[in-house]
Amino acid sequence: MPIKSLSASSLVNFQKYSSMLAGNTAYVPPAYYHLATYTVTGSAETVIEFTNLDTSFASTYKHLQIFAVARSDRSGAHNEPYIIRANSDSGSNYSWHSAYGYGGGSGAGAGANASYLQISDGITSASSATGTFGATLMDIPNAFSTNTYKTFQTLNGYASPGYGITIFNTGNWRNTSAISSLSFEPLIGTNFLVGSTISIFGLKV
Amino acid sequence: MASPSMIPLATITMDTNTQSSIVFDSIPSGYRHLVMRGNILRTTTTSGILVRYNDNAENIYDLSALGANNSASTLTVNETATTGQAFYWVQPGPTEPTPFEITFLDYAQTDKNKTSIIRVGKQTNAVLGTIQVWRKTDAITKINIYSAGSAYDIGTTISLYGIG
Repeated sequence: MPIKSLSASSLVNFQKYSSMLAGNTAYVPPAYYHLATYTVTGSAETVIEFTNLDTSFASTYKHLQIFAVARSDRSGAHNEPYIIRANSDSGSNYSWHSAYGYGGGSGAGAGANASYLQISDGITSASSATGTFGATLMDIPNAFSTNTYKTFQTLNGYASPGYGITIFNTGNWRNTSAISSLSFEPLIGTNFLVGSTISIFGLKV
Repeated sequence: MASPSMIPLATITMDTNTQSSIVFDSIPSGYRHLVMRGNILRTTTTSGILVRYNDNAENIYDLSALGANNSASTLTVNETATTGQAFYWVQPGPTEPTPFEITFLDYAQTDKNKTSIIRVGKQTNAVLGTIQVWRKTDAITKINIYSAGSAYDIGTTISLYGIG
């Protein structure tokens, strides 16, 4: 319907605002972004690696969060650790601690001056229930800092009839370089099985 | 190319103290993972908080948990049950809100059983990390957060987000 009189429409209410928002709520942009996901498809793979992380994301993101769902081809066991290397560094620059519970008890583990960061019992293997994958929720704060060593913390594990483990892991990579790449591989088995998925998310400041 | 993530799907807030189920239904499949966050209050501290997917009540919910409380430095359990014991020793009650986060990994992928990671704690009960597996490859389309033995109290709020 045509408006014949502007003063009778809602377009003119003579309200004055001291702010450019004119009474509207300020837009707050999202802080949490999906950066990359890799899923093993077709055939099993030995290593999952994300590269160019610093050149692609360092200028925009502060922290990284990683979700991993993984199963390996290790035989005769329900689970196994996987290992992480940053920037392809295989020097003795990693250490970690873990606290775990498996129903029958609890314990702790550690590694010092290792050539990889270990995520203990983070993936399932052949003896676990068919279709059950290990799960990891991992935080890497300040991943692109060039002033501090890099730290990793996880809550991970799996559950299967009669077996299962829940683990808190924390560790570091003693290097002040920004993280440019992250590689993941089973420690004992040879391959990640089809369906294994690792996702990386970035948090802005 | 990075894309905004953590999209709010739904928030449920209790304005009565009569319900014992909080249900998220018709969950869209277009995300990689789901994250649920909230605070729980209940009318009494009785039994626990359970999770059931797609109304499935088979004996196929596997659980592993590690935690601690004031009387035991470590608490661990493995079990298989008809519902997922999402909080196990942590039993929300009145007055003290119980915060929690559940990450549902690959919830819509039909090539694997569904695994969730749960973090929960309550000052007067315990702090706990839990791995829960629903031994089915179906996509999760419905999540029922069920309070056993006690109704949710007014103020309970749970939000569901899609990420990735």
